[in-house]
Amino acid sequence: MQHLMIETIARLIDEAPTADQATHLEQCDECRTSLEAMRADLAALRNLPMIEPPPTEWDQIESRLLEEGLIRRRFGQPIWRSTALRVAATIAVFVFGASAGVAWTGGRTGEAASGSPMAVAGSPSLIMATEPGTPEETLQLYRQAEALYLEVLTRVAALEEEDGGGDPVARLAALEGIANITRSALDQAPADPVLNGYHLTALAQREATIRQIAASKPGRWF
Amino acid sequence: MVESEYIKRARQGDGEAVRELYTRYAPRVYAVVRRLADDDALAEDWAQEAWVRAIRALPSFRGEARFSTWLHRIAVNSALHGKRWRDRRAKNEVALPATLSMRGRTEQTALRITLEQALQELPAGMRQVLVLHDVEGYTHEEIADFLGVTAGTSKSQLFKARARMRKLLDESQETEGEEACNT
Repeated sequence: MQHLMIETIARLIDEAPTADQATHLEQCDECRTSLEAMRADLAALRNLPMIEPPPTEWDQIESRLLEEGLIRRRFGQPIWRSTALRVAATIAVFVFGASAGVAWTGGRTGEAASGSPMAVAGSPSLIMATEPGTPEETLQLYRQAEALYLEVLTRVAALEEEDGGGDPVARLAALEGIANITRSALDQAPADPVLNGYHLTALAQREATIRQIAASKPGRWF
Repeated sequence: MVESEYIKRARQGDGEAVRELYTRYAPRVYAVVRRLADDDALAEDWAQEAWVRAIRALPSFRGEARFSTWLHRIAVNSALHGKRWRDRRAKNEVALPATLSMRGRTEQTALRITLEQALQELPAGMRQVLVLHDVEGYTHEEIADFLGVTAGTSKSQLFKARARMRKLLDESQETEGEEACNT
C-alpha cells in the first residue's frame, strides 16, 4: 500500500479528503496516526502562551515616544503618594521574597530571629496595612524595606557561596513562588514600574533556571 | 477605566495611558514578533518599532476593529516589512530564545519549549506562514496580503511547514526515547 504524502496529510487538516484519500485513511493506521499527530500539533500551537518582553523594553519605547513628542510625562501628582504605594507593595514583595529565600535555603541560613523583620514573613497584611500617611512615615517604611531587601540579598549571596547556587530544582520552586508573589503584588499596584521590574526579573530568572536544568541533560535535550 | 478611555487619553499624549495599553498588550505583541524573528535582538527591535508605529498611528484608529486586533496587525507588519528576514540561522541553529519568559504553568514548559524550538528550526518562509496561520489564526488571504504572495503560495508553504514540523517533533521524541533507554 502506498502511503499518503506527508504534505497531503498536512493539507487534510484543513480540507476534506477525496474519496480515495478517505478510503486510504480508513485502512491505513500509519497515515491516520500521522493525521492525528498533526491535528495535535495544531492544537498545541494554538495554545502557545504569550511571551513576556524583556524588562527594559518599556523604557526604550518610552524614550522614543518622548523623543518624537508622541507622549508627555505626567506631572502634578504628589511624589510621596505614589512612592508610598510603591513602598507598601515593595515591602510585601520583600517580606514574601525573604520567606521564599528561607524555604530555598532549607533552613541552613534562615534562622529568622523572633522580633526581626523576618518574623513577619508570610503576613503581608500586617505590612500592607501600614500604608504611610505622611512623607516621614513613607521614609521610615522605605528604610524598613531597604533593610529587608539587604537581608534577602545577604541570604541569597550566602547560598550562592555555599554550593554554587544550590539545587536548580529547589531554585526553580523558589522562583515560581516569588513570581506568584510579585504577580499578586501587581494586582495591588499594576502600574508600579518597580514591581513590574521585579516580576519580569523573577520570570526571567525562572526561565534561565529552566534552561539550566534542560542544559544539564546530555545530548539533545528536547 | 475602560480601554476606550485609555486609548482616548493615549491619543492626547498621556504617557500613563500608553503605559497601561503597553502593559496589557506587550506580551501579545512580543510573542508574535519573537516567533516571526529568529533571534531576541531582532524581536526587540521589531516590538519596539511596532509600539512606536502604533502610537504614531493612534489618531487614525477609529475603533472599527478591536484595538488588540489593530495593534497585532501593526506588529506583524513591523516584523515582516520593517527589516525583513535576516539570515542568522547559521548562528542560531539550536539556540534557545534567551529571554523566553512566558506566561504558563511549569508542567507545560517542556512541550512549550519543544514546540518553540521546532518553530525556530523551520526555514524563515515556512515559519512565517505557520506562525501567522496556525498560531495567530490569520487566513491565507490575509497572509498573502502581509507577505505579498498569492493565497495558493501561502497554503503550499503551510503544508510544507506542518510536515517539516511533524518530522522535527518525531525526531525529538525518538531522541527522548533513546535517552530513556540509555539511562
